[in-house]
Amino acid sequence: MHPPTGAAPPAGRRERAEAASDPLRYRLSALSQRPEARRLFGAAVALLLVYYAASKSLEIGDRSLLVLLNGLTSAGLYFLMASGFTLVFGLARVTNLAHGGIYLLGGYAALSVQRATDNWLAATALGALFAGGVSVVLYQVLRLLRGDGLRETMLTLGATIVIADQVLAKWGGIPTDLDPPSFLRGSIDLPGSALLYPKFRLAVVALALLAGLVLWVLLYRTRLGMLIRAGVDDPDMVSILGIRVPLVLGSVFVLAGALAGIAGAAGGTYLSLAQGEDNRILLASLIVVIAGGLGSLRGAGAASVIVGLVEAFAQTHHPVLSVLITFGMLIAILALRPHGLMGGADHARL
Amino acid sequence: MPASRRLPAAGALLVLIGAAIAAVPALVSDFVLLQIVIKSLWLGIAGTSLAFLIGQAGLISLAQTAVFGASGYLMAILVLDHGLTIWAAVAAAVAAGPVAGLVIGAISRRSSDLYLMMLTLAIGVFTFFFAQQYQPITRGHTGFNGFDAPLLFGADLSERKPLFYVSAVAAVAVVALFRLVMRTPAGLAFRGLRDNRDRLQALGYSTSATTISAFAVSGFAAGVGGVISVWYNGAISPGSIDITRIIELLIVVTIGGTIRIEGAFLGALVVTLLRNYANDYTNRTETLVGAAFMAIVLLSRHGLLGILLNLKSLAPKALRFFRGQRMASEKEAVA
Repeated sequence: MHPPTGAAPPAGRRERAEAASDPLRYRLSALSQRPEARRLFGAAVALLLVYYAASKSLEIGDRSLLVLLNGLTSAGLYFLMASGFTLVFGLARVTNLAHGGIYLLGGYAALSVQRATDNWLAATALGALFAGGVSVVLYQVLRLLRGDGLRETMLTLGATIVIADQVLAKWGGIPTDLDPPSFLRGSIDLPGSALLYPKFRLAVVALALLAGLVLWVLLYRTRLGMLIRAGVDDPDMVSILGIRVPLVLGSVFVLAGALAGIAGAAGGTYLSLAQGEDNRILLASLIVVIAGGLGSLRGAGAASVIVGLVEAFAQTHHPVLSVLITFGMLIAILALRPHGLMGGADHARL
Repeated sequence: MPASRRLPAAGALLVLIGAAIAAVPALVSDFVLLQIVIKSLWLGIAGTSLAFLIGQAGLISLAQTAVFGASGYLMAILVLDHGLTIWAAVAAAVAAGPVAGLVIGAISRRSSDLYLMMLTLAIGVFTFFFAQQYQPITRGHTGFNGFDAPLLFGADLSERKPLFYVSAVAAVAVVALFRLVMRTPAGLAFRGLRDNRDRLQALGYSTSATTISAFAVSGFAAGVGGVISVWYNGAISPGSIDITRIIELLIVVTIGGTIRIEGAFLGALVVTLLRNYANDYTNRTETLVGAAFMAIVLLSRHGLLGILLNLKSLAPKALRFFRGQRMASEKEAVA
């Protein structure tokens, strides 16, 4: 039985049987298995979305620029969260659902330091350090389960509850925030429009870009990065070669925790620190990571921009339906690519 | 054992359970009946839906509160906003459970393991945000208050004893239904999904269809739990399905253990007891609950039920050990 087009035949017998009974569906499935076709389709959907966003926004003037900037700011925050999350998954196969809790811990720790020293940078650095420390403690507990992924994930869920309750006990339930550093206070004029935009929000975008750059250098230009990439590919082989994998894993946990801590300090400055923020940020980074493909750093980068922009667009134009729109986008991506934009079936690509 | 010989045994078991249920209100105080027993029952009913998914089909879903909430919200909306008679609304709400399960299953039909867990968590949290944001239908974060439990044969279900009897009967019915499903070929397919997806597919089953039907079956129990919880609380709000509740359900099932779906009731009882009585000793109840959960996850693969069953299987071993010792010493004496 020959397929009606020259495309690669579908893998399963069942699919082939289905294909024979339904040529349109067969053609669609053949299309969805070609990487170029998929990319083209993805780009087309993205362009359509951008076009729709732009045309809809132009009617109300400068709002489109605002949507764009707000989207990029959220994207920056999401990337800081999702990059650590996805790195930990890629290497340790642990889905750290306590990542939102660690974000909150980092933010609140930074708040305490800022109240004592009045120095945002020191506060952020110490908050990141604290979050990294908590993260590595969590890793030590997770090691007790010896790689039983589902129980590890449940353990991190338990940690989420404990962290949230301890944060409530230590810092109370009243929403609060950090003051931005003096050189990032106030707003700047946006060129070509009458809008003012807070400097700090732009700095968050810069921070995320910087984090991306540092991560790239670390992963592709250092020995540790080489070990991390090798560990993602084949952890068993790396350990056979005499590398102490737990040490590499531990450093990735510290790195991910520190990134979440920085995100907590940044988010705590331009959003707020409150009960429930941990869940909101966890949901956002989950959507980013799932949409981008688990374990893929590039996927996390691309997805954080898409999720950030779609979310900002939805919040501006359909505030009531904003969550629905973001979620619909996730379902659409998963329908096209079950393993996310840049994820493989079993094989994670950094 | 042929079915004809099993029938009297099942009847005896039912009589025994019925007697136990009838005896409970006489044995415990009114406070315990309301705050502990009834609450554990509806939490346990919702828990069995997750215990079934995890223990039978190997699908860890964090979206069962979404089903629970869909049923509870639907009943409240139909009665309070559309003036439907209560039992029609109850029927619709119970039917909504499997439908919601079907939808969630269809979304996550191609996922498994950790990916499924994350996807369903996203669905569960999304449902919470939807309930909170979509005010025209869900009334935003206040939700629905002042829901009156219905009358059943003249008994007011907002009173303790009638509500207890109805919840207990519902619990038995849900467990019986799950046990029935487990014995059908579909139940076997669910276990195949849990044990070896590839082999199941090679045998000609569709893993997607199996996943979807497992979600649909489990949705029934979550829906029943949602309905009873609204009777019990007289209200439903986004707070009833937020991430704390999502995790609570997982805690209930994990503490109880998933090898038997009845473990959910044990877990629900432990969690309810902790929530009610730990307050007397510490302000940090949540930390205690979370820590207890982490400890159980670390210690046992099958929760408290696993530990208890281990003890049961240990007892004969211990007996044999001591007997062996005695026999050895007797032999020595003979020599």
